[in-house]
Amino acid sequence: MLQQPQKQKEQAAVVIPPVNIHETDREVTLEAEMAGVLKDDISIELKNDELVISAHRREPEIPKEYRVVHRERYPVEYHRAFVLGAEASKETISADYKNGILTVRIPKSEETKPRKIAIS
Amino acid sequence: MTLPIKYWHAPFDVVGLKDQIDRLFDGFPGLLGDRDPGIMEGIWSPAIDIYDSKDSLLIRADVPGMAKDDIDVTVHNNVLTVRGEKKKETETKGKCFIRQERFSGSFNRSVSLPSDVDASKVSAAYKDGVLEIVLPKREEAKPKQIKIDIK
Repeated sequence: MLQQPQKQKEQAAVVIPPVNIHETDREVTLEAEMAGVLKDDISIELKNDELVISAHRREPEIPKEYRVVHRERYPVEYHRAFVLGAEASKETISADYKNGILTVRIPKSEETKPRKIAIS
Repeated sequence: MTLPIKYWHAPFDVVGLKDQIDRLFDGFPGLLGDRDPGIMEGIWSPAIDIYDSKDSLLIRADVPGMAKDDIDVTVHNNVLTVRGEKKKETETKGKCFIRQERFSGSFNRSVSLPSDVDASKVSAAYKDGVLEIVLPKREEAKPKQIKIDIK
């Protein structure tokens, strides 16, 4: 049987997005820089203790009357994984994407938040 | 005699490979994952694409994480300049940084424009971290079809 030659997939470079992470008593916020991605092309997965963010930046749509003069922006596969500590409340992780920044909020579970103990 | 048309398959994707090598160096600090702010600071500038049509020029620039008002687009003497400042977050009481890899500081990028761009009609939009600038060309500069009667 003849095998169909495999169609060469458009090869997108894998890029590790730069992130800022900050922490408060209540939550850890992670901001990953990924410009020009569609919201539907972003995936956030939780595998055991590993939080994996990935996104596919598509080939830009060029209106057909235009021809390319100069290019520096290419399709990209964003990928990065983080290991969450025991205090992360995995069920309540939330995320949003705005202005090219993916923000992931990881609240801390109740029992690990610092508690003020009154002295009787 | 006609020659049969033959397709030549490169043993590997030569053009793609060159692209990948170019991109490897373009994205070098990013690929390392851990950007060293010491050497990266102050030298960031947005990646841009330039497209041309008979009516206008379209420029797209990647400027993630900006507020619309913090981006400044100017056209002066046929030079388009995109300027801005990525504000640095400061540590406050009760909020500490674990990682700080995103570039902060001011940046700018300039592009020489062809002389037929009408600077008064330039428009720009910002969405998903991408700045899109449309630079229409002057009416009189657009190519016109001239009919010549051949006698």
